[in-house]
Amino acid sequence: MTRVTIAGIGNILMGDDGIGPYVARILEATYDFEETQVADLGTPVMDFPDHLDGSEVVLIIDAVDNHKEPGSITVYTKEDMVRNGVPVRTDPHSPALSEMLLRAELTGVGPKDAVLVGITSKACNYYTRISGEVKRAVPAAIAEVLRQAEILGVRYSKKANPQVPDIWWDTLGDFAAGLILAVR
Amino acid sequence: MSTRITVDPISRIEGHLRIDVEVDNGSVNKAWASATMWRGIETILQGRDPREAWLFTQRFCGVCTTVHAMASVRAVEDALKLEIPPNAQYIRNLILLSHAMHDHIVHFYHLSALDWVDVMQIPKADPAKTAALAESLSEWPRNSKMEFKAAKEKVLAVAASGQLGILANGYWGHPAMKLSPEVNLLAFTHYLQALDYQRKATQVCAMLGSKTPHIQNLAVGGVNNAINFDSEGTLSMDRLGMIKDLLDEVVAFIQQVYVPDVTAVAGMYADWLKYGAGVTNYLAVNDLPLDSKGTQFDLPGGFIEAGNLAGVRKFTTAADQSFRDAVSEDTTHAYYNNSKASLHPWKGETTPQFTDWNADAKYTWVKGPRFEGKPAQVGPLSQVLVGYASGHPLTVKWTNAALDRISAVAGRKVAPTELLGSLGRHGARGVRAAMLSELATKHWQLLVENIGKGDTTTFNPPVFPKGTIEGVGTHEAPRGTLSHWVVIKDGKIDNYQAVVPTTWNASPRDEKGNPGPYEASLLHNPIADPERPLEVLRTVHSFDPCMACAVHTFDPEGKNIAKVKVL
Repeated sequence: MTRVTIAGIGNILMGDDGIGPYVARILEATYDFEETQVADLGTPVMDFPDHLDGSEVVLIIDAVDNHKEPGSITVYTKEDMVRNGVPVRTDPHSPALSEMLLRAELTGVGPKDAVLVGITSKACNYYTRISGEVKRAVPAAIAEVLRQAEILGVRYSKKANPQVPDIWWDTLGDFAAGLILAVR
Repeated sequence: MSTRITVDPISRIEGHLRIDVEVDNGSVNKAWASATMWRGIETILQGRDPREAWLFTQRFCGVCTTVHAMASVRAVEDALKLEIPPNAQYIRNLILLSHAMHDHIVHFYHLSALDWVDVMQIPKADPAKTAALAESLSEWPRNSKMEFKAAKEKVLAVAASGQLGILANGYWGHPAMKLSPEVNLLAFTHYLQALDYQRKATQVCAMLGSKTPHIQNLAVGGVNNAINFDSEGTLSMDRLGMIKDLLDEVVAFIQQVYVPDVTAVAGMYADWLKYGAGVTNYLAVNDLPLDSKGTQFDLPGGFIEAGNLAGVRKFTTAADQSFRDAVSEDTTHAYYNNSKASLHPWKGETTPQFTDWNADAKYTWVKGPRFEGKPAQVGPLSQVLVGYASGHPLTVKWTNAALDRISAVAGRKVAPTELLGSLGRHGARGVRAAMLSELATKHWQLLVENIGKGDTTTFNPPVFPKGTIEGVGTHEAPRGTLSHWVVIKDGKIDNYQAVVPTTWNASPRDEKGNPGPYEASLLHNPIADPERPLEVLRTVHSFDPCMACAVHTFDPEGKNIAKVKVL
């Protein structure tokens, strides 16, 4: 049974915006979680709630724009996420995160609670790699996701045989390779 | 003195659609549409096997994926002059129909209705009066006082929990919002219900296409759905029954909810009917083929020049010879360094050369498609106008029904020529959705009857000749005319160009300085508040803009999308 979804979201072609999928894929390759699915959900559209069917809580990993130092880790509650509401709709991808939560509130379909582990981005430009500042924040982001998972009552363990994360769009930099070795 | 407004969903980031307008005395006098990303898949396809092109092209987008798969296989089949079995036509048509119905519902309710509907008014609404109003518009069974009361209570509960912020954003509370509290409650209740029905339409697409987004069941030469009424693992009667049940629910929602709602909103904002026409050359292609050869179609195509409905030129085939000859793409104002400013798609080039945004030089990644050298508007409005002007019975029936409804609400006779603006584009999308809903039932029936005759064929294998062949595949997609152009040399792709609906509509100026449809449609739009240019969004949204590749950065302060500069 899936009680919690850990979802990395963001556009892997847009530099630091791809940090959510990046962290989700490392977690997926290196940890086992009970009653939990770990997923790279990319840039979801109207299908976002469908990926979360049955989950009571969604733990989101995403790039944030909050004027802090690039690579800062900030945890947001559901109240934080919906406080400033649905941005003006400009394209089919717009009604994603906050609208999904609003919908769950109004229709009863979808997770009742949400936590966001935000990593402050430096630059989200087309076809650039994730910046050094943001990549160096990956261990802290992973630690924060695990801490939040624990608060949600999720049991997890390191994989006995960790896989190489499938981060095909960004050749594994020195840092990620080192992390995999450390886990082993 | 004029004011320059830049509307950019992610002004901090490169990506998406950006609109710049110059406002003088509360009205737009110049506009530029700019796409800030490059697609590049055409370049990837060169040298590849044409049979796999559709798997790449549907990755143009994460929303309208199906349409690019379909246009791609049709382009290769056109080059080979390959017929496909009737079952394959009907299965493809059912996928296209379910995708388009999903897309039109989502576009109206979830992407643009809130440009017109003000949720902040709902606490003042009387559910009993709302139910009485709803019953006067439609026989929809979910229009009871209890439904409206429940929706209102949900909104009040969100407000009471201190999260009113989630309802206060957007441009709600803007002076251009004019609906009564009851109409706002009606539309918002249907917004919630529409979530269920858009999903049911998508389920049909996934059942036939194996997955969605990005269907997996196509092949150059047909589809790879196995048909066997004795096997549960294939397309069986049981499976077809489930599809029919889902379609029936979607059809009822479109005819009993979407059409009444969109026509009521258009009637209540009748003073807005005059804004946003822009380019009045209209282009649509034939679609929903009824036979293997593609000689008969259920959706009409053609070209209307300068709003002259009586002079409509009808197309006879899906990629009519006059269409093949007429299309070119102009890159005078786009970030490409091609050998000529204007090229036919089979000779098309995609050599990127980015320079910064410059209103007088290059300012977008979108090329400027032209029909006989002229800009053309594409989308449901174009198809409805072509069908209406040429006396296509299904189009005439639903257009007249919509005009009657709009006229009844507006309290005056609304003419077909009043449908050319921003609201007319929404109305026409509702008309097209109603047409599609009838055709979905018809094509399901055609498929079942054909299988009933004992025909289970779904595929004719392609054979690639030595030498060079050219093909064009068209599809009348939810956002309008889509065409994929392929040149195949010795069985490998030599050139590939996709001319997509949003390229027609978001087109920049061309060699002669003629603006594209978005740009032209914004001229003379009123702007009540430059800090909150709702009117710009209303007009651009009416085209259903689709720019592939979103970014997803979370902004805890909410997004301020308009930058205003006094010139």
